[in-house]
Amino acid sequence: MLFIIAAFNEEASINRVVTELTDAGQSVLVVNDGSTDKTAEILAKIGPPLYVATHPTNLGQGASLQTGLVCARLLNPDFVITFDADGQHSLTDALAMIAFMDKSPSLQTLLGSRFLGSTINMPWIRWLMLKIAIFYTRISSGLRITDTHNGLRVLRRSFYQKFNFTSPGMEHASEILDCIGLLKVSYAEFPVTITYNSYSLAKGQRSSQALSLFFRLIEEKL
Amino acid sequence: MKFYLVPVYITCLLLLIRFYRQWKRGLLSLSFSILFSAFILSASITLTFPPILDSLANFLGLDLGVQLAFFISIVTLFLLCKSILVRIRTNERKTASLARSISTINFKKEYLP
Repeated sequence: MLFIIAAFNEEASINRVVTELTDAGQSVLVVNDGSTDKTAEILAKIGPPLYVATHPTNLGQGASLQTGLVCARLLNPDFVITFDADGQHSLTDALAMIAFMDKSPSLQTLLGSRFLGSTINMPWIRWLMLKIAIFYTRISSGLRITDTHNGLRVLRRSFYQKFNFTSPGMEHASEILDCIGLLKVSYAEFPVTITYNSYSLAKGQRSSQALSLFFRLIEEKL
Repeated sequence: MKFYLVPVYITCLLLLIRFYRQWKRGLLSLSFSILFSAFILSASITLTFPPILDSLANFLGLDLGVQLAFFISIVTLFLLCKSILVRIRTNERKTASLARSISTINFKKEYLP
């Protein structure tokens, strides 16, 4: 299995997140999305078994995951796990998801859901934004899901080898779900815990960006 | 002959020449040069014969010719913005694709010799 982490200016958290995974014996691929801080230096110090792909400039989280998937296809692991760099996700949840996938061979992708699981310190405005996004995605993709913008996903080889999306920014989360709906991929949701702290809230999707993300999603449909 | 319209006609003529030149130089697509030219020609014809606008508006079920002009302007602006947006997004995707190819090539060199 391979963990894919998109990182842009994550010097404060990347060392902790990556070493937690590598210490647990997991393969990790970090896509350094044109970071201008010390992220690249920190990753260089961690060394193998860490894989690093570097974008020459900042392209966005969606583009980073696309690069991560291209590199993953070259490494060809059984499972690919997308994981956030800001420490919101838990390794325990990811391992539980992989164990669930192992027991369900017909399942091609497993999506983490904070609304089936739990959240710690989630602001109400974030809750509202996510509920609106879920409503929109249910209409656009036709999928009956409870959490649309959760970065913790497990993709089986048969899925990630044929799967492509094009959105460079945060709207990739909706496009991935659209692809799952269009390709009629077998999927399930799994309860996970998302931990919000001041760092992850500052790094993540800001409430003020929600409107521009919404317009971009509409624009993609036009 | 309405002499006060002469500067407007000259402006329209200059705009038509400009659209033609831009199309020849590849700065404007054929469809948009035709669209803009048709818009300019329609505007100059309507200025010469104002009742046309009101008749057309009535034909389309609108009360005033001004409403029709407003409606056409909005549609034209929407199409223009959409066309520019598509070009920007296409270029953005091409640039991102190029940058991602570079990082994938470097990744292959480093980890899959």
